[in-house]
Order: sequence, then C-alpha cells, then structure tokens
Amino acid sequence: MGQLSDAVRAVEQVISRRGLDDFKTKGLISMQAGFFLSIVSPDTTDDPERLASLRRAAEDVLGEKMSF
Amino acid sequence: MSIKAKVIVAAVILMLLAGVGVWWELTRLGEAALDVVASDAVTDAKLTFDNLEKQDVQKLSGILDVLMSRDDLRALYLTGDRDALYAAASPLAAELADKYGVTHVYFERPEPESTIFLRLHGKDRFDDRIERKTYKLAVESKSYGAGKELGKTAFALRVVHPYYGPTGDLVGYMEVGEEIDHFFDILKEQTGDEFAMVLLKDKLSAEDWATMRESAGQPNNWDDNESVVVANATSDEIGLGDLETGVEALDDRGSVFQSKSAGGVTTARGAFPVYDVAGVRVGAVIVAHDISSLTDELVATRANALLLLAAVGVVLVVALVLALNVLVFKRLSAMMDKIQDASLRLAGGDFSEVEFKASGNDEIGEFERFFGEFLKLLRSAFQQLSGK
Repeated sequence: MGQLSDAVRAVEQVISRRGLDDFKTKGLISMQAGFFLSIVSPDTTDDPERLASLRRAAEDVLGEKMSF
Repeated sequence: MSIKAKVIVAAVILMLLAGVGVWWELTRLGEAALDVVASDAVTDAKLTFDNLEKQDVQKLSGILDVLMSRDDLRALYLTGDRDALYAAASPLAAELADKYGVTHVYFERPEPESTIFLRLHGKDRFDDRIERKTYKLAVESKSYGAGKELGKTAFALRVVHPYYGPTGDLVGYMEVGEEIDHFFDILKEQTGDEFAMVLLKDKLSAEDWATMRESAGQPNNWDDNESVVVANATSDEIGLGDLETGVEALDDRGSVFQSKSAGGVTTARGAFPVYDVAGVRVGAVIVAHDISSLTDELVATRANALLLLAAVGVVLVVALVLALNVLVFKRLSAMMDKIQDASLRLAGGDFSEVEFKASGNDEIGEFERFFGEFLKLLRSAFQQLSGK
C-alpha cells in the first residue's frame, strides 16, 4: 500500500518543480492514465497495472522519465 | 477532416453540380433554339416556295389570257395550218421566254381526241396524246388546270385553259408552262439560305436523265444516291443529310435534320416534300440555313453564364464559410476550449466553481448550459470521492 500514492506525489513534485499548471497537468495525466490522481490516497490499494499506466501517462505528458 | 473543411468541400461540390446543371440546361435550351430556327427556316422556305408557285400560276394565267385573246392566232388555229400558226406565234413565244421565263406554249385539241396540235417550243413534235393532269383538270372543270408536273427530267409549272372559238364553242385548249429552276435562285436571294431539290428516281427515267444532263453539259448524277437524284442545288455542299432515309419519312410541313458543321460554318438543315399537281409526293426541297453566328453566340453565352455562376459561387461559398465561422465554428471552438479546460481542471482536482455561460440561445448555447449543469454534478461527485 502507498506505492500508487507515492507515485502521484512524485508526479506532483515534478509539476511543481517545473511550474506547470497543477490542475490542468494532473487532469491531462488522469485522462491518459484512466483514473483520477486526486482521489489516490496513501490508503489506496496498490495496483501494478494502474501504476504502469500512470508512469506512461506522466512520461508522455511531462516528457521526462519517471523513476517510480 | 474538420467540419469546416467538409462544409467547404460540400459547397464546392454543390457549385460544380450547379455548374454542370446550368451547362446541361443551357445546352438543351440552345439546341431547342437551334431546332426552332431550323424549323422556321424550313417553314419559311416552304411558304416562300408555295407563294412563288401561286404567283407564277397567276403570271402564267395572265399570259394565257393574253394569248387566248389574240384573234389572229385563234383564226390560224381554226384553219388547222400548223406552220402559219407557228410563224405567227413563235416570235411572241420567244418574247415570253425572254421576258417571263415561259418555256412551253401549246395549242391542244379538245377531248376526246386530246392531242397536241402545236408546240411552240418544239414544232416538229405533235399529235401525241395528252396525259397530263393539268390538261385533265382543265377538261373536267372547263376552267384553269394549274400546277407542277414532273416530266421525264424536271418539274414544270403548267397552266391550261379551254380555248373557245368566236362563237363560244370549245375548239381546244391552250397551255403555257415554265420550269421552276428559278424558284431556288429567288429563294436563295430572299432567305440567304441554300437549297436543293431532289426527285424520286422511280418517278423519272434514268435514260432521259442521262441525256438531259449530257445536253446540259453536266455530269450524270443519277447513281450518286440510292432513291433520289439531285435536280437543282444552289450549293454543291448542301448534301442530302437525313433525307437519305427517305422522302416518304418527311413531315408534310417539313422536317428538321441534324445540323452540320464544316469549315467553321454550321448549318441547320431540313426539308419539305414536294407534290405534283395530282398530289403525289415526287421529291423534296432541302434547306440549309447558316446558324454559325447563332451557335457562336450560344457558346459565348454559355461560357459567360458559367463564368458568372463561378463568380457568384465563389462569393457564396466565401460568404457561407464566413457566416458559418461567426455563427458556428468560432463558438464551437470556444466551447470546446472551455469544456476541455474545465474537464481537465476537474480531472486534475480543481473543484472550484467555473461559470459555464451559454453563448447564445440556440443548439450550441443549449449544450453549453447542459454541460455546465453536468459539470456541477461531476464536481460534487468528485468532491465526495476525494473527500475535499
């Protein structure tokens, strides 16, 4: 548990570091990943498939390699 | 392809279809106009031909009246002295031929004998029996018998009238006639058209035809066509056209053939049938009417109409696209931006209230209002899910 939440935090850090529009960027990644990043909490059950789709979406939208 | 591009393609296709339609309709109207012109040319020629015949019948009747009023000629006829009658009348016949184109003058014996007493145009032939319809008409009616009669090689317009003695008793008939070749020169002069008269071969003798052509210094054209032979033509170029299918197929008022183009000249052609005095169809007169200027004008009008249509079409397409742009596409684009932005923000966790104003009181405005309400619902649901 917490792996997906950590990944979302990592994505938020990149967005913040790069000064991107927080909601719009997260919205784009959510649309591509197929689930809402905003409803992921540390209690959210880990799901390798959702994690993989989050990585793909984040890398595609942000244009950089994600380490989670 | 965007909706805008699709609308432009559809408008262009519609304009092209309209252009093809206009082209087709103008061509159809042009052909109909040419048919009317050709039909009028044939009708006018037929009327003129018939009027010429009537006028010449009147002219020949007048000449006949003058000849019959000559007591000296009557007296010589009654003596039966053919040579004396010829000597007295032949100078007059020569004058009539020269001034009025009278080619035949006859003194004829009455029925039941019905033979030629004297031909002023052929003194050495006489006593042959008269079988001509005009003679029979005069015998039956005891008045004028007049009309066209087809001889062995040509048409002659003949007028016959009973010839009465000093006491009013019938002593014979007198006849005058002319060939009708000059009709075509007059027709050409009056209408500017070209004409040709063809005769049915089965009404003529091939041998006599060959002899006549040879004596006239003309090549024998008997075998040029299957069923008809060209008797007169104001132009060598006229051709038989659709008449090759048969004189019998012609309408009584005249028929119009396919127009013909050669050497930059387009002619509308047609023909009307020619009947002899017995009402037998013996040939036809072909009419060729120059329609080059008309066809040129039609082509120019068609091109101008298409140019105008193209110009109007371009203006209409541009106006349509501009209007659609303002009324639909710009608003659609703004609506899409608004929806995408609000959706992305909501998906990204922005639950702040976004005002979704309708941009108009139409389908687009209605959808914007509907989507605004739907977004509110989603926002509320996501807020509950995310616990914020």
